Amino acid sequence: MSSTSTSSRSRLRKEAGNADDDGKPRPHRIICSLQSTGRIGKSTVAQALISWFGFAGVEFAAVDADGEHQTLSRWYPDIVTRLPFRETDDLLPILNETGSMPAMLIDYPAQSTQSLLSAFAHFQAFDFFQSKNTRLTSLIFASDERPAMASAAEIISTFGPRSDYITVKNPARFQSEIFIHSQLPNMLAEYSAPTIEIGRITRTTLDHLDAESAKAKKALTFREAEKLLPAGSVIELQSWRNRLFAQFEDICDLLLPTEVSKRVERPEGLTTAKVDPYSL
Amino acid sequence: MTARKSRKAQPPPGAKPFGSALWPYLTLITHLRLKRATWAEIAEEISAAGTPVTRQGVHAFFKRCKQREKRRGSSYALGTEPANAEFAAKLSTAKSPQQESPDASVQPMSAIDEMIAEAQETIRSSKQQLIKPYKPKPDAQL
Repeated sequence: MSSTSTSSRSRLRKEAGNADDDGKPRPHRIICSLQSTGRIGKSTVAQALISWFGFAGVEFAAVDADGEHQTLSRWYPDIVTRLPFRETDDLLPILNETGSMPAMLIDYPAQSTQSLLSAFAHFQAFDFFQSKNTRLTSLIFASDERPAMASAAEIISTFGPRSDYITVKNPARFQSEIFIHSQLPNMLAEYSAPTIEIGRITRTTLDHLDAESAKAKKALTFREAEKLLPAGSVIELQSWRNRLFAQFEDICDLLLPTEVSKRVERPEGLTTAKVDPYSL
Repeated sequence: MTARKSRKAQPPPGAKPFGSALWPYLTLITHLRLKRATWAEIAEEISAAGTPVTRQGVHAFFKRCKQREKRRGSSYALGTEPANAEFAAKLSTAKSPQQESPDASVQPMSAIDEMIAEAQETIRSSKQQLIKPYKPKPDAQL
């Protein structure tokens, strides 16, 4: 699904004068989405990434900066650190830990693009990241909603080549038609941003998941819920995860400082055959 | 004929009287409120410290405290909360470093000042919370 090859991305980063071409180790990663829209699947992608880091056995840190919903920390209370982002100061703990682990995943709240951008500017975060051999990976959700598109444009224009980008399509949550026909894909193509797509999960499976979570009095992750769901839903969730893991493996250079072997079986999709009844 | 009122369930004999779990946080709440923090922010801070509470809960507790203070005509001196009883006892016996100072210009620190300083320290240390790394075992099912 990723639309840009790894080699063309590394070529572009070479042109931008970044690491990994002068014998330097590949940069550590801070992965986050700073976009100003809620309910677009930010925490779901974060859950999938945590699950993938676990699968790949990679050391990581996860921060739940969404003090209001705390979705990620409810899923992984033992793994995720709660560090609500409210003001500029709240970026400091993140900066303090920059470079100390291969990947840091941050789930920022919606409606905070402006304050985050000004916090990044205040601490000159990118100079700091560079000194710690760390690079930011911004997830850009290709939503047609105006605030999502406006904040995406703000992020890309402000960060420019100092950040890497991944376009995320989530057809279950939002349409991407206007986004695709706007200037944003061109802006992202300039930085060689690959695209990943989050699969759709049926309402029935999600209802089962909610029911099991209510029974367990805990927000269950997909993995936890799998042991409790009916067989059909389990297959659906497994294939959902496999499809995402395969895409993460394809773009692992934007998610991890180390190469990851491709271990996920690429699911073969069924293609619907078109038959002309008169030729039979 | 009027129906008899049902009796309120009585606690078992020897049961401890109810005490709010928020008493240990009175200083913190006062301090944060003076810093113009919202009830939601205070509730979040307290929940993070280990006592899950809603913003309405903190507000109701603080309001009740203030009403009681008004009724009894004196404030709950900060530092008399259950969690700080040890500190209050220490205050009555030991002299603070300021009181021990030979310099007469050094004013003794009041219990409130000390408690506020302690609360500030609590806030500072909670803000310096380290982000914990997680090293999964290979093929960990997260």
